Amino acid sequence: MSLYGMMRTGVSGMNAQANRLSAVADNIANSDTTGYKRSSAEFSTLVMPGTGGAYNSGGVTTTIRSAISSQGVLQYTTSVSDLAVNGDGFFVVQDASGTPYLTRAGSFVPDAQGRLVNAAGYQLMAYSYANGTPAATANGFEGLVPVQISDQAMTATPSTQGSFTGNLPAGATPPSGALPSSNSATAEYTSKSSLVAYDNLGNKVLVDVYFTNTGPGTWEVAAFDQSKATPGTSFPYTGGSLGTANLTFDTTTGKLTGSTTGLTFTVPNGSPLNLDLSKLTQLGTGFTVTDAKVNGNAPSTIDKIQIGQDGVIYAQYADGSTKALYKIPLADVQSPDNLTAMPGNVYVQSADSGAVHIGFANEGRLGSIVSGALENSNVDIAEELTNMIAAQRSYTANSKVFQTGSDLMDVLVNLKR
Amino acid sequence: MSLSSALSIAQSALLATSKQTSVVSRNVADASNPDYSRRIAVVTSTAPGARSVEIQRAANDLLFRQNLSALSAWSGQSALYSGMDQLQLSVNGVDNASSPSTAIANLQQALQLYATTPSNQNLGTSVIDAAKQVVSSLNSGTQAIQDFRTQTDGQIATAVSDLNSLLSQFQDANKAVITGTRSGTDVSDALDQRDALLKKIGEYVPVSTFTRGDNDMVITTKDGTTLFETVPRSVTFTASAGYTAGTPGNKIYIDNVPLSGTSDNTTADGKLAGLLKLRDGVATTMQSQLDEIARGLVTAFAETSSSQPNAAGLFTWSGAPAIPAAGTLVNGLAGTIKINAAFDPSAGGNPSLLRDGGANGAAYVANTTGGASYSDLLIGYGNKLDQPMAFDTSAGITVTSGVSDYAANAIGWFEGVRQQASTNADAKQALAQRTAEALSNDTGVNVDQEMSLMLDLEHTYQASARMMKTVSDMLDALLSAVGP
Repeated sequence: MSLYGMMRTGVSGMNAQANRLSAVADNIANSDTTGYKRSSAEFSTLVMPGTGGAYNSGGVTTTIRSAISSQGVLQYTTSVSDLAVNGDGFFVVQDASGTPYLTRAGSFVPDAQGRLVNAAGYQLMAYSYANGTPAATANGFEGLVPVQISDQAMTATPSTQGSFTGNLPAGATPPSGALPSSNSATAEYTSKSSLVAYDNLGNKVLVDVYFTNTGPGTWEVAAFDQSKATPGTSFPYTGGSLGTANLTFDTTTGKLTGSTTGLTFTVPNGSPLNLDLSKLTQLGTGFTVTDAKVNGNAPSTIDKIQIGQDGVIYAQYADGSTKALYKIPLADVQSPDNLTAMPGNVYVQSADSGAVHIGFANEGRLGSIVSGALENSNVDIAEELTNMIAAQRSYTANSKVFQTGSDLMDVLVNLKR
Repeated sequence: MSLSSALSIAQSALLATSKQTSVVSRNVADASNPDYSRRIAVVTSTAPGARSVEIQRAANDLLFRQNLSALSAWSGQSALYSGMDQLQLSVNGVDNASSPSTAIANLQQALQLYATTPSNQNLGTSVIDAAKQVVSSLNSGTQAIQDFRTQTDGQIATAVSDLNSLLSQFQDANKAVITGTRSGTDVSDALDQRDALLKKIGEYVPVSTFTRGDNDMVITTKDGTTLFETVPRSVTFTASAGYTAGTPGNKIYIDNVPLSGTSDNTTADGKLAGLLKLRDGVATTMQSQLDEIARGLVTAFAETSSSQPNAAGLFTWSGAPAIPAAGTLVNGLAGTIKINAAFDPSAGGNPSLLRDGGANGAAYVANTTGGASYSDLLIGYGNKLDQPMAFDTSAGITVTSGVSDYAANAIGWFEGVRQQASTNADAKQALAQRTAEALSNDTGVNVDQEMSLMLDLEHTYQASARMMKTVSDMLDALLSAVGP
C-alpha cells in the first residue's frame, strides 16, 4: 500500500509488455523463416503479502512459450532435397563441430562434399545402408552419419532370379531333328525366346531359351549364351548349353506337373540364375509370352536422389534403377514446446523437454517426411499485429499507472512548503 | 485457420490452377496429333495447405492393341496389293496387251490364215513374226518378274534396317518411361512417344506386348519371338544381288528365328510378311506359269517323226533338240525360249519349214510330196495349241488344258488373287481406320470439353485471386490500425 509499490508494479507491467512486443517483433521478423516456431509471452502474477485493509500491489512476470509442436503450413517447392516433416518429429542435424541438434528447417542442398546442408549451415544426419538395413538407436545420436551423396560409387547387380510366364502350343509335334540340348548343328526346336541377364560386372548377356516338344505334354527347355551362337544357324553354340530341364504338363489341365518347375543355370561370368517356369501352361493356342522378368542391373552413375515418405534416400541411377543409401530418422522429445531454441532454427533438449528418442518416419506418433516441400513458419501476421496493438495499449495503460504514481508523489512532496 | 494460412492456401490454389491450365493448353495444342493421348490434371489435397496436381494420361489398352493389330494387317495387305498392281502392269501390260495370252491368240490367228493359203510365203513370215511376239512376251515377262523380285528384296532390306532403327529408338523411349516411372515424374510424353513407335513397329511386323514392373514394355511378334526385351533383338536379312527363276529368297531372322507368314497368297500381316509373300509367293508362281506356257509351246510345236523322237520345232530352248519332260516344270524356261533359227527369215531360215516340217532333218519332213498347198501340219499345230496337255501342279492352276487356255487361266488366276488382295486391303483399311477413330474418341482431345474446362479454371483462378486481394485488404485494415 505504497505509491512506490504501485509505481514498481507499473514498471513491471511495462517490462512485461516490452517482452511481449519483443516476441511479436521476433515473430514478424521470422514470419517467412522456414521451420520457425512462433514465440509468445505468457504472464503470471506476483502477489505481495498484505492484510485485509492494506493492499500491496505486486507485479507481473513473463514466461516465453514457443509453439514448437504446432505444425506450419507446407509449401511445395521444386527441389527434392527440400524436406518437411508432416506431423511430429524433428530432423537431426549437426553443426561443423559435430554437435547434434534438432530442427524442422529442411531446405537442404548438397555442399561441395555432397553433404546435405540447410540454410543455417547444419548438416542432415541419417543412418547409412552401407551395412544393411539400419535400425534406429532409440535413445541417442549414435550411429548417425552426415548424409553424403557424392561418394557413392557405381554399382552393378548380377542376375540371380527370373521368371518366364507364357504358353507352349499344345498342338506341337516333336521336331524330327536333334534336340537343342545336343547342341548339334542340325538341332531343331519348337519355339524360342530370349532374355537379358546381367553378369557379375553388370554386362548384359542375352540368353536364348529354346522350348522343344518331345512328346505329348513333355517339353525340353534349353538355355544358351546368344553371343556364342554360330552365325546364321545359331547351332552349335560354342561351349554348349548353359542348362537344360525337362518339363511335364498335365494333358488334361494344361498345367505344369512333375517336380521340375524351373531352369537353373549360371550366367556366363555371372551368378547362378534360377528361372522360374512354374506358371507356364500348355494349351491349344500358339506360343505366347505373357511375362518375362530377370533381376539385376547394369552399372551406372547416380543421376539424382529421391527421398521417400519413410525418409529413405534413394540414389537414382542413370538407367532408372534405384538404391537405398540412407534412412533419415526423426527425433522427438516428450515435450517439444520446452525445447531450448538455438540460433538457426535448431533446438536442443532441455531439462523440461524430456530426453531425445529417435525413430523413423510414420512410426508411432512421428510424422512423415515430405520431399519437395518446406514447412512455413507458424506465425500468423494478423495475430501478431493484434497482439502488438494490445501490447501497445497495455504498455500505455501501465505508463499511465506509473505517471499517476509520479503525479501523486509530486502532490505528496508539495504538501510541505 | 489464420489469415496467413488463408493467403498461403490461396497461393497454392493459384499454383494448382495454373498447372491445370497448362495441361489444358497442352491438350489443345496437340488436339490434332493422332499419337497424343489426352492429359487429365487431377488435383489432390495432401498436407495442410498444400495441393498438388497429378497428371494422368487417358489410355485404353484394349483399343490400342486392336488398333495396333489392325494397322499391322493393313500395312502388310497394302504392301501386298500395291506390289501386285506393279507386277500386273510390268508383266501383262495395260489391259493385258503384252501378256503371253494375247500374243498366243495372235499366233493362232496367223497360223489359221497361213493354213488357208499355205502357198503364200508372206503369211508364213507373219506367223514367224507372231511367234517372235510370243517369245518376247515370255522373255520380258520373266525379266520383269525377276527384276520385281530383286526390287522387292531391296525393299525388304530397307524395311529391316528401318525396323532395327525403330527398335533402337524404342529402347530410348522405353528407358525414358522406366526412369520416369521409377522417379515418379510425369511420363505422359514418353508414353506417347513409345506408343507412336510401337505403332510404327507394328506396321512392319504384327506384335504383341506386355509390361513388366516400372512400365517396362516387352515386345514379341505374334508368334512369340522376342523383338524387344530390355534391349532390341537384332533383325537380320541379307539381300540377294539378283534373282533368276527358281532362286529361293533369303529369310528374315528376328532374334535368329526365321520370320514366318501365312500360307495364303492373298493376305499378309505386317509389311515384312507382305513383301516376303510378293517375292516368294505370287511372283514365283507367276514365273512358274510363264515357264509352263513356254514348255507348252515348245511341246506343241515339236516336230514329230515315225522313226525319231520328237524334236523342238518353231520354239526351241537350251535343251534342244530334245523336248522338255511332260508335266514337269523347267525353271526359267520362259526366259530362255527362242525362235528356231531354221524358221526365221531374218536369221537366214525358211518359214516354209513350218508348213513342210524337217527343220531337224529329213526324217521329220511331213510334206513328202512337196505340195505348195499342204496344210495338214499347220492345222495340226493350231489344234495342238488347244489340245489338253499336262501341266505341273506347282504352278498353281489347272493341271490339264490347252496352252492358250492355260495362258488365259494364268491371267485369270492372277486377277483373282489381285482382286482378293484388294478386297482384303479394303476391309483391313476400314478396320484400321475404325479402330483408330474409336481410339481417338476414347483417348484423344475433345476441344469443346477442354474449352469448358478452361472456363472453369478461369473462374477458379479469379476466385483465388479475389481471395488473396481480400486477405490483403484485411491485413491493410489491421496495419492501418497499428499506425499513428
